[in-house]
This record gives sequence, structure tokens and C-alpha cells, in this order.
Amino acid sequence: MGEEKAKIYFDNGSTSWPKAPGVAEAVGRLLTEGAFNINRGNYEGAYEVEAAVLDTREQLARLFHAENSRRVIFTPGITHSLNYFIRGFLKRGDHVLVTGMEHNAVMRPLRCMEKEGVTWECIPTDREGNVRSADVEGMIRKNTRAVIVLHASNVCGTIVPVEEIGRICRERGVFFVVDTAQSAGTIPLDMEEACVDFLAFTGHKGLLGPQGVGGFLISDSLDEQMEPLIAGGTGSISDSLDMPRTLPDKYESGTVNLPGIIGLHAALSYIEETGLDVIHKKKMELTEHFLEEVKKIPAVRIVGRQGTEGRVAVVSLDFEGRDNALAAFELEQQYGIMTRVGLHCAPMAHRALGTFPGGTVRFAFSAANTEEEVDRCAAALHSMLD
Amino acid sequence: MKEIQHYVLFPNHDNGMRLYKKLKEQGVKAVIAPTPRSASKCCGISLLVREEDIEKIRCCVQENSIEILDIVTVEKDVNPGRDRYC
Repeated sequence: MGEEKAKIYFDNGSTSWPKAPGVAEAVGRLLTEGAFNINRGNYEGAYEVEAAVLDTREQLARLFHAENSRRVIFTPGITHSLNYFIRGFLKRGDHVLVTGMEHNAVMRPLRCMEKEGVTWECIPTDREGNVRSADVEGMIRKNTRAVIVLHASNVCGTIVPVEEIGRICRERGVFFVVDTAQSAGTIPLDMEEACVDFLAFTGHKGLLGPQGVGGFLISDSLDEQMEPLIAGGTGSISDSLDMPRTLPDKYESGTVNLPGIIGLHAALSYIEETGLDVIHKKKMELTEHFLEEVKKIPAVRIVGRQGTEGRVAVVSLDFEGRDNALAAFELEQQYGIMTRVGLHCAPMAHRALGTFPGGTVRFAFSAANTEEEVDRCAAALHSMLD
Repeated sequence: MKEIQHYVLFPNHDNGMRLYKKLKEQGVKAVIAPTPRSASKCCGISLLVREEDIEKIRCCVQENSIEILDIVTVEKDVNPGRDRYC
């Protein structure tokens, strides 16, 4: 028996780990020192938690360059956020454009809405996951209500040109929805500049917070037209049976995930202190190194873009001639390398990339990974395939 | 004996916390308190403030686009024989 080596976590596309320094402590402190409820409790401890939640909204507004932090809404996660828009806003007769790279967090709610008379079309997407903004212009119809795109692919990491698409949407009076699951905390996104009306985020991936918390940022114009999907108690205008129109209450019925938000607060503080550019640079250096090493192995194909340009630190590999699941299993069992294999909840993306139904093995790096870990992974791949 | 108290009322907690934070930054004294039932049916929070600060508070509300419902006065019964701590 050889010396047991530390496991390597390359599944940061599913959820980041380790979480940012201070997250576990912040959650622990809340739970042990007073997990009082906001918008309900009328005592100092509850107000302290409320102040921290307000700070977190302000951090998120700064991160996404939103004008008003009141437009930051917390949800249990990005899937809920996207459902808020797709199932809460779209109506019979509405038409929607999506990219061919969308996650099922978008496609399944859209599929549900087909029964309600909503139609959708795919913007052409090539074998590298690229989408051309010029194609969007010609696809917008009279009844197109929204364009929904992910900022970066969760399968191959390709970045969608959201700024260009957003400008087209604004010019044509179409709401623009961006899913930042794989980009938040890594690449900057200015929602005003990119004309984003609905920005969905998750707290537990690149934002380095705990699972179970996410949200969305909403523009004034969309908010005026959108009704809350979930209704219930908010701790405000309790004399009325109607939902409040004031934000964030309009979209935040019930008790929000306070341990999640407090953990996210600590994670965002870490990101602000460290700097998005520093985090991104580290991730891309690891990605570049990994891509270089993988290119030396003929039995493995990089799916999507071959270099670091126009991508995030998510790389999919196809172990040609082998079952990708068996390859991932071997990586984990023999070498302690944790990845994600399969279709990544994005069957359309795999069809576009030519990897359906075999799927791929996904390696997603965080700034906590090291070059030494990438080297160990490359050595493992050589050992498996040479 | 009656004492007049001044309360800023809000449509929700979020606005109350926003104003509280801004006032704290400006050194204006305010205490977060449950909204007196006599002042509003809305069961959220309000800010108990000093009369001399009301104009400053109105400016702060306007400058920061904070939504308030009103600034109201509430009469409070005071027992002069009882020790007071604040």
C-alpha cells in the first residue's frame, strides 16, 4: 500500500469547497449566539441579524453594480430565482429566446410553461458553446418577452457575450435575464452596463457561501410588471391579505435562510477583501495549466474552447473510447480526484457540444486549488490512459 | 403625566433598517422599536427619534430614497415615581 494522498476537489462547478474563510464561523456564531428571525422579532438581537442581511444585500449590489440594494432578493437558490421569472412572469402567448447551453434550471421551467402557452427558441450555439449576439437580433419576434442566457456554461465554461445581447434586448424592449451560476464571484458583471433586468445568482458556487441561499436582482421596469410567485407572511402590512408591493418583501415571503445569508455575508467579505480579479486570475492560471497538460494526452478530448480565452475555470473532458463515468470513478477511487460526470443537468448543451448522451467528465477549479493538485491530476490521467 | 414621543413609520423592516443605518452614520440618535399599535396597523418596526432631529431625518429619507409612511407623535404615560434608565 502506498502513502495515502490528500483528496483533490475539482467539482467546484457543483458547489465550491472549501468555503471562504470565516463562513463556517459566521454560521456557527449565528446559530449558537442567537439565530433570531428578521422582519418579525422586535428586539435588539433580531435587529443585529437584520443589519447583517442588509449589509449582504449591499455587498451583492456592489458586486453586480446594481443601483439599489433593495432590488436584491434572497431565495433558496438560483433554480428558485429562475422559476420566479419563468413561472411568475411569463404568460400565454409569450415567446422566449435561450441559448443552446442552458441548464435545466431554465429549460425545465420553460418546458412546464409550454403547457401554459409559452413558446421558446434556441439561439444557434456552436460546438464550442459559442453564441453570436448578431443571431439574437433577427430572432426577436413581436411577442418575444425575454431573452434568457447563462453567463458561462456549466458544461464547458464558454462565456456568453451578455453585454452585447443585453444592449440588443434593451433596444428592442425585451427583458434580459442572466443566470450567473458559473460566473458570479469569478468574472465581473455590471448589470446596468449589460442591461440586465433579472440577474439570478447562487450563493454556494463562486460566491463561496453555504448551500441553500441564492437570489436575484431585478430592474425597476421588470419589477413593475412581475407578480410574486410565492405569497405569504412578510412581517409588513400584516393587516392586509394582499402581498406588499415594497421590495424586498414583495418577493420574500416566509423566513429566509438566515444561516445561509450570514454565511454568504462572510464569503462576500472575503471576496471583496481578496478582489475578484485576484480570484479570477488564480482560477484561470490553474485552468491554463490543466489545459496544457491535458493536450499532451491523445486519448482525451477537451470539449468546448481549447484555450483560456472566453471561458471560466470549468473544463469538460471526453475520454474517447471509454465510458466517462468509469473514468471519473477511477479518478476518484484510484487517485482521490473528485469531478462530476454525466450531462450536468444540461442535455441541450451536450447536444450542442456533440457529447450527448455520453456526457463528459467536468473539472471545475477554485482559487483554493493548487498547481500541485493539477499536476497530480495530469499524472493520474497519464497513468490511466498512456 | 404624559410624554410625547416621535416615531418614524415604515412600510417594512428593510426601509427601517436602511434609515437606522444612515442615521447612525450621521450620528443622529434613533432607537429601533416595535410600531405602537395606536400609530399604525402595520406591525413592523419604527424608529423612535428626537423631535429636534426630525428635519435632518426628513432630509436623510429624501437623499437616500428611503420609503417611510409617516412621522407621528405618540403620547406615552410616564410614572414620575418610577426610576428611569433611558
